[in-house]
Amino acid sequence: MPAKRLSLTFLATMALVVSVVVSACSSQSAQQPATSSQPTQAASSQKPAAEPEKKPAASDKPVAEKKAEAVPGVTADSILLGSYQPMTGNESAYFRMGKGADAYYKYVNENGGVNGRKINFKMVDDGYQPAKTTAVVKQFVEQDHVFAIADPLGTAPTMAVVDYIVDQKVPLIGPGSGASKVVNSTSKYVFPLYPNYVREGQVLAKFAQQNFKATKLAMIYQNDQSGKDDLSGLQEGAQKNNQQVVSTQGYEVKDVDVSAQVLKVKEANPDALVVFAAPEHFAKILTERKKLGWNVPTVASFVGLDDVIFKLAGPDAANGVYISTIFKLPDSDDPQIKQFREIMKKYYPQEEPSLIHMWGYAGAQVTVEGLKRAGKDLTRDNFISALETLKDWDGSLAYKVTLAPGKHLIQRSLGFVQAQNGKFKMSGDFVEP
Amino acid sequence: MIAQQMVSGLAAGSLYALTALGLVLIFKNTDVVNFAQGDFGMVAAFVALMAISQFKVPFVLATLVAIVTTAILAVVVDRLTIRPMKNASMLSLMIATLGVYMILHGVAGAIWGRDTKAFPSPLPSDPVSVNGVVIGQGHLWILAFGFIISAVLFVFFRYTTAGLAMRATAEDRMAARLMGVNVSRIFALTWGVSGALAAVAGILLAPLVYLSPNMMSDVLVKAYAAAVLGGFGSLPGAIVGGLFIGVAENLAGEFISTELRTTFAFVLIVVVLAVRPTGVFGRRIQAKV
Repeated sequence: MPAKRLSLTFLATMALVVSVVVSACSSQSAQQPATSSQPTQAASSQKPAAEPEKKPAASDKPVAEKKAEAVPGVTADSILLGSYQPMTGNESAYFRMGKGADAYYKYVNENGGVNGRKINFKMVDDGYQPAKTTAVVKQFVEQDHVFAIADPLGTAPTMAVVDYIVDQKVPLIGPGSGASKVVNSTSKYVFPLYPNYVREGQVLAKFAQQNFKATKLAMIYQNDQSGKDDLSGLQEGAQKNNQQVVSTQGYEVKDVDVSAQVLKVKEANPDALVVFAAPEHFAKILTERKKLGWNVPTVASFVGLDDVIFKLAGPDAANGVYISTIFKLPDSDDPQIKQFREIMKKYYPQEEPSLIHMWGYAGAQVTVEGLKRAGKDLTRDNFISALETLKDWDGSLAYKVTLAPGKHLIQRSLGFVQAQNGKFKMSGDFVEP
Repeated sequence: MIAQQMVSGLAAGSLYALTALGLVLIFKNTDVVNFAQGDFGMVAAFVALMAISQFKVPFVLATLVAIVTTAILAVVVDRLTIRPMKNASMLSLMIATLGVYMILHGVAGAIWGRDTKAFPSPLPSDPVSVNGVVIGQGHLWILAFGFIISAVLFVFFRYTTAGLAMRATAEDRMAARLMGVNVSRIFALTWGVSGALAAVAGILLAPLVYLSPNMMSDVLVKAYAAAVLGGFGSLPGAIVGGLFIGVAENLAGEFISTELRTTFAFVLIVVVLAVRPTGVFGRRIQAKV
């Protein structure tokens, strides 16, 4: 038997230290970039004065004077937009958002740009590290003088910079984050991309009632802010609908095994299972559910919506499961999605078009429409007022975009898809929660 | 339900156990705690997948390619990082392997991408049900391989010259060298065997935990704990330790909280070590002179 120089207690201590290091590295990767906290209602109830609408009208006339003012990032033939993206690091799969936006801007530029100006979409890597994001955004604002920050990615990065961006009066359009600080921002400069999870949780409860006639719900959720938000939404919704939440089980993003959670919810014998999980864990939950031969009606959050679940769990484990979605599916026959696929193919031929590309792409479409409507005399204020004129606008992947002062959420509605033999099929129409 | 929780725990524990075997093997023979052990397995799984999907190689051949590649990789890691530091403290060596872990992790992400991929398995995966208690066949295979590998290693250490030389080296490096054992070759052999073991573990785990650069991160931490629990030097100890952690986690989930189940499993380990500082299967610890 070999004699060891160091005791096991020492090794155990080391194990703990190292496990902290290792899990700090790994847990980041599983984390969704989207987390949120409170209902978006707060944003809509806040009604900033209508001044932004008047300002551009007033400043429309003295054109010469405005040219002299020099709007940051706008020249006679270009508009500079900045975007922080996780190009490297554990979150780099989400860089697809930036690529989706970039493809659309390239397409617009190739077709003459916006009002004679080309869009210069500058993406800079922040590695999904808030400290780096801060530096990147400072550079955008203070050195590059960007016109706006468009389609950037991530909850943690955006949380770190949103106050500064608002302070500097720089428009922030379509950030890939559901953080309450972002989604509920009352600033006229912030245009969040998608609804937060509390709202979604309420919708999931309602969906279970309407489609499964479920009165007893159970939920498995990712044990972080985003999952807890969705859970609290579900509980609120259930209370409203006279439903009971009989079991709620959290899992950690770095857990490899979710069998215990699935068993626990099964034990509670719910009428419907609600899942808030990233695709990998969602696939594991579906595998366990199938293993136990448990055919409970299941509905899940859009954070788990990804074709990869069919590959990971197998098509039959997912069969019949409903998942919410913020956009139509990337393989849909919808003409706009077809165009999205064509544009992606042209500018990023090696990428498989996905929902994450669509986040950036849809935000870019809204940004371009705002720039278009703002006209030749572009300022930040008239850009924002132009965005606020969008009403039931169906010119993007987002569903009927309606923006107004104090109402800045780009994609308000949720739809549902059902997994059928290895494919997602739209089920019903998009509804505003 | 408790029976099912325990069986599911055994299933998860089998993943930890198999990985722990490689950790223990290296530690037993070279006194190095290898944090890159898990990522050797990850690299192996990627190599196998690449062989299967890009070069259309049959699964068994792809597995062999992955095993050989990983064994070579492990020997190279030994040559380049551990050997030059052979007189460094155990702690420094640990940190060095942590560095290797980071490098493999980053390089794998750069080469193969960071998104999760499905890993094909030729082994049947339908669950088996006994009296309503269900276990996935994938986990049964892992358990089987865990025991087979321990048996093979046992025979190897006990009855082969190389195994004997390895044990001698582990016992007393200087004496072994004086007896004509080529110590550096033994170390290279140990790393190669551990690399091969990691490859088998990686390929068996990949269909269950899904293939990504992160696939082994959580497993490795639990495997490390399993190794410590088993006495860090005992191969059967590693297996029992792994299974114990899997079951403890699930029971903690059943009776305490699913959110805190991993935490309680580790608390349990601390308690076990407080009572039995050498681990369940460990022997008396002496200072090496």
